[in-house]
Amino acid sequence: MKDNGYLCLVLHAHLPFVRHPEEEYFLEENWLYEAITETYIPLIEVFEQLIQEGVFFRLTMSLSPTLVSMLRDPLLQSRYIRHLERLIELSCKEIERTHDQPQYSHLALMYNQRLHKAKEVFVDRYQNDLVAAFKNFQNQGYMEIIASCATHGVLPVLNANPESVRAQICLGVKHYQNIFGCQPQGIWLPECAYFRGVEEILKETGLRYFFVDSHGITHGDPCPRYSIYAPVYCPNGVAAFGRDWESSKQVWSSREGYPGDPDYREYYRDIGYELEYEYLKPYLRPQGFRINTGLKYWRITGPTEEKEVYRPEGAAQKAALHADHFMANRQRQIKYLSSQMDRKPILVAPYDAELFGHWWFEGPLWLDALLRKIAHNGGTLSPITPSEYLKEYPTNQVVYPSPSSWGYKGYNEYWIEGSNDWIYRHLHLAGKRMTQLADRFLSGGRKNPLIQRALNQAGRELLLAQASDWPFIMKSGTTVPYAKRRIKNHLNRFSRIYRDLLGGTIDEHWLNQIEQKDNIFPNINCAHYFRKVT
Amino acid sequence: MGKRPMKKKTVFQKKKAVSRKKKTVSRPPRPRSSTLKKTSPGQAATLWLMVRDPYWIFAAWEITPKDFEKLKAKMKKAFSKAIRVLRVYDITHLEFNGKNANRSFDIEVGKADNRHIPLWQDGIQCCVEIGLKTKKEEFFPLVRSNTVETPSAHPSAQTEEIWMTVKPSSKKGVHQDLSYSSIKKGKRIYLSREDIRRYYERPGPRLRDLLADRLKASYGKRFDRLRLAGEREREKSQRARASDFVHEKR
Repeated sequence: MKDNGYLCLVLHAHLPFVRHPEEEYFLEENWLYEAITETYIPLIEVFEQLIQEGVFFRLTMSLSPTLVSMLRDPLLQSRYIRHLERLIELSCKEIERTHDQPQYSHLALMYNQRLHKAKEVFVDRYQNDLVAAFKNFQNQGYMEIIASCATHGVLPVLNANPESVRAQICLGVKHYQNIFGCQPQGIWLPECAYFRGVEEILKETGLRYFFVDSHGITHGDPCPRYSIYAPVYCPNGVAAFGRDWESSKQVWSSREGYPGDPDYREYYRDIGYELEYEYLKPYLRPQGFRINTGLKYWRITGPTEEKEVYRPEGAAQKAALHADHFMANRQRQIKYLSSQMDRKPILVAPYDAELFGHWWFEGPLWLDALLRKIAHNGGTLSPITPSEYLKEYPTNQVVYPSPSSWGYKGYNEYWIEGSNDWIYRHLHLAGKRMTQLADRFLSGGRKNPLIQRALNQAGRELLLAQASDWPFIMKSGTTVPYAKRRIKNHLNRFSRIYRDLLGGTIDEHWLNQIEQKDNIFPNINCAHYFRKVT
Repeated sequence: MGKRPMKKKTVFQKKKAVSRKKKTVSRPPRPRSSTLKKTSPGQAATLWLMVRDPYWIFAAWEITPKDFEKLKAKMKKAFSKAIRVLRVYDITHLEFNGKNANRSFDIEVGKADNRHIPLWQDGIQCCVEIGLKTKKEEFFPLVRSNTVETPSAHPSAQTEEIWMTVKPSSKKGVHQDLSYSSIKKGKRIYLSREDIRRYYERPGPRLRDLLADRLKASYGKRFDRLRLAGEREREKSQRARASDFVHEKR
C-alpha cells in the first residue's frame, strides 16, 4: 500500500552530570546506573535485534552532552560495573531465597538473566562505551542522532544573558562534533523550550531544525496552514517540527497512557524497601540507607496497596496490544490528515528516553513491537527522521513559532516559581561575570596556560550550575538539598575563580582538584563561547 | 487505565516515592555548603527580566542601597521620602527611548529583590525599570532590564501565507533559502530576505503590500496598468456576483 504519512519517533536521553569522585559511593550516581541497566542497554538490545533481523526502522535520538560525558567517563564506567556485580550477587541470593515461592523465583531468575546480559553488553560487546553503540546505529543509517545543549539549560530563562544561551548551544554542537565526528542536522532544545531569536544561533551553528511543543506551532505567526502536521520555517529558514499531542498523550498521560496499565510492572514497590534490612544490608551503600535495587516483583494491579505478582508474559502481550493500538490510531490520524493536505503529513512523537525501561519497564518491548509492526504492516505509516522529511519537502510555510516549552502548562513556570526563582540572580550574575572574564582574558596575544585553565573551569562551573535539572528538582520536591548544594557548589567555585583571576592569584592546587571533580568538556575551550555577542 | 502521573518525568523523580517509604537508617548529614553571596563591591546595579508564561514575567535585581544613593543628587529633598518601584513598560513594536512606551504601570517593591509580575495581555514585548518614585509621582530610574517577548496565548489571527524553499547549497553546511507567496494559485511572487524581515517587524507592511512592491520592481510602469486592469476585473466580477444575487432574489 502507498505510504500516506510519516511517524517521527524522537527519544531524548538526558541525565544531569552526577559524577562524584570525592566519595567512593554516591547515591545520586545511581540515577546513571539505573538508567544504563533499565533504559540504555535494553534499547540498544532492541535496536540490535531489529537490525539483525533486517527490520527497517528510523528513529531520531538526542543524547545530551552531560549524559554522553558520563557514559564515556572511566570512573563512572568502573563504578557501574561494581554496581552491576553487586546487583547480580543480590539477584543470586534472591533466587535462593525465593526457591520455595515459584511465583517470585522465576522473577528473580529473570532479573538475574537481565543483569548478566547487561554486563555482557556493557563490558564485552561495547568495552564500557555505550555511546559507541548509538554511533553505530547512526552510521548504519537507522538512527539520526541530534545535538542538545551543553548542560541542558532552559534557554528562554537563560536569555537574560544572551552569551549563556550561545555558549549552551555552541558547546553542545561542538561536543557533538567531537563525539560523533560529523555535523548535527538538528537539535533538541532542553525542555523543548523555545524563544524567538534562538533560531539565529541555530543557523549560525549549521543546524537545520529543532522541535517545539504543539502550541509553539499552532500559536505561531501567521496561523500555520497544516498545523503541527508539517514543519514550518522560521523567518531565517531554520525548520521547527511541532510535537503531536495525540501521540504523546497515549504514552505520557496518567489517564489514557499505556504505562499505567494494571498488567505492567509496578515501579514503586522495590525489594530495597520491602525486605528485611539485615538481609539487604550488604547491598546497601556503606551509609546503610535503603535504596531502589531495580528488583520489583509486583504489577500495578490497580488503585490499591495490595499488589499482585508481576507476570512478564502477560505484560509482554499487553505491550504488543498497546503497540497495535498506537499504530492503528496513528494510521487513522494519517488517513484523515493526508486527505486534507497537499503533502504527506508527519506525526512527531518525542519522549524522554528514560521513560522506556526505567519508568515503564515494558517500554522497550512496546517500542520493539511498534517498530516491527510499522516495518511489516505499516501500510499508510512509515518511519522517518526530520532531515529526510525536509529533503522530501524542502518547501514549507514560513511561520514564526510562539515561545513555548513542553513543561507544566506549556511555558516556563516549572523553572521559575517560588521554590526555585532565587537561583536566577546568581546564575545571571555569574553569566555576566563569565563574559567579563572571557572578554578580558581571551583577547590579546600571549596566553598564560594557567589562566586559560582557570577560565575554562569557570565556564564549566557556570554551565553545570545552569542545568534545568536543579530548578526542576526544587519544584518537584524530590532531592531538593542535593539540587541546592549542586547550584551553590558550582557557583561558589565559579566566584572563587572569578576573584582569583581578577586578583591575579590562582590557587593551582585547588584548581587541579576541581578540574578532577567537574571534568565535563575537557577538550573544549569553554570560555571562548561566553564572549560578548556583538 | 493508569494511576501514575507520567507527564514529563525524569529518572530522579522517583526519589519522591522513596521519601514516602519508611527509612530504617537515615542518611547522615553532609557538611553544609556556604551560602551564595548576593552582591559584591563594585558590581553595577543589574535588573534581569524573564518570561514565565503569556501573562507573567519575573524580575530579579542586584542593587545595593548605595546604588540608590546615586539618585540623591538628582532628587534632592524628594529623595528621603521616595519609594522604590518597578515600572513595567509595554514596548511592543517600538524603539524604546524611555518615554515612548505604549503603556506602563508601577509596582512598589520595598526592599524585595525579585518580583513575579502579572500582565494584562499576552504576546507583548516589555521591559522593566527599577527606581525611586516621589510623592509628586516623579520617577527616577536607576537601571533598566533586558527586553522580553511574552508568548501568545492564542492562535494568530494572521492567515497570510509565505512559503520558503530551503535546499543545501554546494557550500558545505550552508543552506540556501528562497521565499515566495502568491496572489493567484500557482503564480509565485518571490520575496527577498529583507521582505521577510520587514514582514515580521511589526507593525510591518502587510504581505499584500510587500507583494505589490515586488511586482512593481519586476514590471516597472506596466505594474500600474496591470493593477488597474486587475481592479477593473475585480469590479466586473463583483458586479456580476451582485447581479446574480439580485436574480436569485427575484
